[in-house]
Amino acid sequence: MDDTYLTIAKLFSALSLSAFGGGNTVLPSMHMAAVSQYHWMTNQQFLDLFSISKAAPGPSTLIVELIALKATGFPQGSHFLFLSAVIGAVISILAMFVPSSILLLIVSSFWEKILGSPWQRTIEKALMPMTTGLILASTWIVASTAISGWVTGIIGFISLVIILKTKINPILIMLVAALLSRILLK
Amino acid sequence: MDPESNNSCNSSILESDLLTVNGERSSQKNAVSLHHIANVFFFIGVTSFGGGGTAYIRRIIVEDKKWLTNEEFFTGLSFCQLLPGANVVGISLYIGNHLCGIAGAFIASLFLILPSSFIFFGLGYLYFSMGALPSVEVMLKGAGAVACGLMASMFVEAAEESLKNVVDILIFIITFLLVRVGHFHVPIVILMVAPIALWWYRPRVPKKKEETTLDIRNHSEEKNNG
Repeated sequence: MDDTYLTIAKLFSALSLSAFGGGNTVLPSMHMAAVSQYHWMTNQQFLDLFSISKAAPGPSTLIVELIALKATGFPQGSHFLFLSAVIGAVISILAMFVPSSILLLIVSSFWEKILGSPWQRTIEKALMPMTTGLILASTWIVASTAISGWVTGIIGFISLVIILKTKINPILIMLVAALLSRILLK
Repeated sequence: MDPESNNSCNSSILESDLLTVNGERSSQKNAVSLHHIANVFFFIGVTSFGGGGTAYIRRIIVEDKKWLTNEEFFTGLSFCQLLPGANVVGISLYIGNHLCGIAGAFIASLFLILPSSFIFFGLGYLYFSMGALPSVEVMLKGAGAVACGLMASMFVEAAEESLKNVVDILIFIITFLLVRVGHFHVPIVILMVAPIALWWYRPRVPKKKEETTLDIRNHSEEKNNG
C-alpha cells in the first residue's frame, strides 16, 4: 500500500513538470501508467474517468485524483478503503500541482519585480502575438472535437456572438445549450 | 467592486490614489483583498466545466471584475503556455500573485482546486462503488460547443489586443502554423519564435522622430487633460 503512495507521488510529480502546454498533454502518459504499467484500472474505466473529469466542475487535470482514488481506495479484491483513498487523493493533487506551481510562481514573482522596465515591455510585446497564435491553435483543437455537426456549429457560433456582445455569464449559456442539445440531438 | 482600501492586501503601497485615472494600464489591483480572491476563485472552481477554463477565467477576472487588464492577463497566459502544468491553475496563480503576492497565488489556486476536489472525490467514489456513469454525453455536446465559442471569444479579444502591426501578425501566423501544421510542441515553438520576436521588440534608445510629430498633434489635448 505504501508503495502505491510513493508510485503516485513520483508518477504525478514527474508528469507535473512535463505537462508543457497544459494538463491534457500528459493524458496519454497517465493512461499508459494507470492501465498498462500499474494495472490500476481497465481501459474502459480510464475512458470513463476522462469523461467524468470533463463533465465535473473544476480543472480537468483533477483526473489524477480519480486515478489515485482507484489505486489506493479500491485496490483489486478489496472493499473501499476510505482513509487510503483520502491520503492517495491528497498526494496525487499535491504531486500534480505543486511542482509546476513553484515554477510558475518563480517566473510570476520575477515578472512583478521587473514591471515598468524596458525589457518588461519587450517581453510583453513579443509574447502577446505568440499567445494569440497558441490560443487560436487550442480553439481549433476544441472546435475539432466539440463542433460535430450543424447543431453544435450553430450553438458554438451563437454563443460566440452572445459572449462578445453581452455580459451574460457563459455558464448560463452552457446550461441552455446543454438542454437544447438534449432536445435536438436525442 | 467597492474599493475597500483597508482590507486590501496592498494597502501599504500608496499608489492606490492613481488607480482610477491611469486608463488602460490601471487594473483595480489595490482594491482587491484575499477575501475577494477566495470568493471569486471558489465561484470559478465550482462553475467551470466543459472546457475553455482559461477563457472563462478571463471573462470573470478581466471583464466582470476588471482586476487585470487584457494585456496583463494574456502575458500571464503566455507564461502558462511556456511552463509545464495545468493552464487554469497556472493562470490562477499568476492572477493571485499579481493582486496579492504569494498569499494571493496560494489562495487563488487553493480555492480553485479544493472545492472541485471534493466533488471529484464524490463522483469517483460513486463511479467505482456503483460502476455507473451518469449519461450526460448528449448534454455535454451543447456545453462543449459553448466552451468552443468561449475559447473563440478569447481569441478575438487576444487578437484585438496583440495584433497591432504587420510584424505582430507575422509572429501570430508563424506561431499558429508551427503548432497546427508543423505539429511542434508548444514550448519548442515558443523557443523558436520568441528570440526573433524579442529581438524585434528589444529596448532601443527612443527615436524622437515619430514621437515629436505625435507630440505636436496632441499637445493641445494633453494640456487640457493635464
